[in-house]
Parts: sequence; structure tokens; C-alpha cells
Amino acid sequence: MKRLLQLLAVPALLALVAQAAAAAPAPIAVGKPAPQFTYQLLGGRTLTPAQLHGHKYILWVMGTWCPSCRTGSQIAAQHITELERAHVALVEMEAYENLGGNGPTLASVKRSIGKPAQAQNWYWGILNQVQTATIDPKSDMDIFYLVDAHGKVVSQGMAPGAHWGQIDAFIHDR
Amino acid sequence: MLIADLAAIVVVLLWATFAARRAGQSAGVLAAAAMKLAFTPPAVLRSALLMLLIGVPLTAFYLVALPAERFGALAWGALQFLTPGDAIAAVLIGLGVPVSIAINLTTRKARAAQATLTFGGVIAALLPSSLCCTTLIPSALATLGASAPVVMHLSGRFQGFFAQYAAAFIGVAVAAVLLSLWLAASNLAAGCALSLVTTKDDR
Repeated sequence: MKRLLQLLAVPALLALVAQAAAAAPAPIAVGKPAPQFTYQLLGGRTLTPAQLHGHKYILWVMGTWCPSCRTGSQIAAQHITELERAHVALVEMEAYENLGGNGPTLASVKRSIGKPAQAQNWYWGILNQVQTATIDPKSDMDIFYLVDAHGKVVSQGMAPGAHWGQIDAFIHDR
Repeated sequence: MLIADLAAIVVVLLWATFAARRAGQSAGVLAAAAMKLAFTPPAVLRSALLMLLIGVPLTAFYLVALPAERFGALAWGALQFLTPGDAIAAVLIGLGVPVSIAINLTTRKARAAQATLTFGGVIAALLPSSLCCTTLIPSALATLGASAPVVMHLSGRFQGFFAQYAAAFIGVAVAAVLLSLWLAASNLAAGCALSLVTTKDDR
């Protein structure tokens, strides 16, 4: 009986390990498809891969304590209408547990931006642990990815507020 | 930032006043006399060169570097996020360092026998450079972390810590510069160089 249990335990363990490996998505990379996550947004809503399908979008990982992230949000607010006209979505996501830093809530950061933050193409949400590990594997702050309409990551950068030219080129296919 | 600057200035001024009174002198008179000595012939050319070669570039650097933390890049664009507190800190650090070095060099010329004390003043003047700006620290940590996943995992936490206490770091840097200025001025006062100047002026 003991022998039988041992024999069953080994494949069961292997199956668990394989399942865990399959469940952990590969880290995000330029030239590869963006992760197909369903993001948890403020207000209890979600953003599904289907909603983003066929649209260009900016996937931005930020922290509420991060000064350049707050500036980036203010600069994004100045360009959100332009993004909307170009059918580009801005997916601004707080990293899991704010990457260990202390800061205000994401909702208060959104409120501080005012009316532009309510734009239909501006999504505010919080990443879970797996999503953070996938999209921000090096725990960088204020990192963004530009994803084309085919769902491929075409570029990445740091501090969108300081590098809006890169985003501008992406919006206008330059 | 403005509060951190003002706090640093008040603390150093109070300390300098207290130290000067204990020595039976006035901090203001002593500082003015030291400045006069460093910025009149024969030291004026050297001091002016120091201001031009160190002070101007250093001030320009800090004017960009201090708001760079909010901008996200060490670039000219950061200037649009310059606050009055940043500007005060940039000028105090950027110009305070060469002034302090100028006074120390003048003292060294005048008091070669006490070169050890003067050398200490020069070191104190250079110290704030190591606290130049908080944006560089997280960047350095991030660079280090590129080869060490453990450090990378904590980089966000470190960045958060520095972001939270950025004003305090800069306040300490401002205080260090003012302290170095005071040390340089008091070094001058401790010797005959300043007495000679003040005696000459008094006539």
C-alpha cells in the first residue's frame, strides 16, 4: 500500500510542478505578445483582453508614492484627448503592494488629476502579484510598454512624462 | 522642500551664532570678513575662477537634478518642475561649495602652519557633493540590481524610501554646505589673517 502511494505521489508532484510552471506567464518582452491578463480596475470593474483586442494601448506600471509617476499622470492628462482621437488606451496600473513603498491610494491620485482622468480610454487599476511579476519582473518603477493593435509589445520605456515623444511617435506610427 | 531648506538654514545659523558667541565673536561679522578676504586681491581671481568653473556648472546641475526626481529623467525638461525650494537648495549647494573652497584656500595660503584644519574644511566643503541628489541614488541601486535579482526585487522599496525622504536628504545637503562655510569662516577667524584684515578695515 505504502509503495503504491509512493508511486502515485511522484507523478502527482510532477503534474503540480508542471501546472505551476504553465500558470506563471513568461515575463513581458519587446517583440513578444503582451500578457493576456484581466486587470482589476478601480470601482470594481475589470479590463479584459477582449476589450483591448484590436486597440493600441500603453501599459504603464506605477506607484502612488513615485513622484515621476504622478507627474507622468499630469502630463498624460494633457494628452488624453489626443490619445482618445487616435484610439489609443492608457492602462495605468499600480504595482502590487505599491512595490513596498508607502503612498496615497490610487483613487486619490486619480482624483487629483481631475476630469481628464475620467476619460473612456484611461483605465486605472491595481496589478496582482502574478501580473506585477510578469509585467515588471525587475521591480522597476514608472515603466511603460507600448502595445500595438495586434497585441504585440513594440517598445518600452521609463517615465512616460519625461519621454512623451516616444509615446507620440507610437500614436502617430512614426 | 522649502521647509527642509529653511530648517537647514535656521539650524546652521543658530549653531553658528551660538558657537561664535562662545568664542566672543559675532557670526555675521566673522562670515562677512571671511568673504571679504576671499573675494578681494590677491585671492579674488582664484575665487572668481572657482565660482565660474565649479559654482556655475554645479548650480546648473542641481537646478536640473533636483526636480528630475519629479520629472523622471535628468534632462532640461525637468526645469519646468523646478520649485522655489529646489531653486534655493540648488543655489545654496551649487554656489556654497566653491565659496567654501575659496575661503579654505585663502585660509591655507594665510595659515600654512594649520593646513590640517584647513584640509578638514575642504573635505567638509566637498562632502555635500556625495549627497548631490536623490534621483541618482535609486538609479544607482537599479543599475547595481541589474545583476542581482534580490536587489532588483527591493529596488522599488528603496526608491520609495528615497522618494519619501527626498526633502530631508536635500535639507541635510544644504546644512552640510552651510556648515562647511561656517567651518571655513571660523578657521579664518582662528588665525591672524582675519584679524589683520579687520584691523586694516577698522582704520
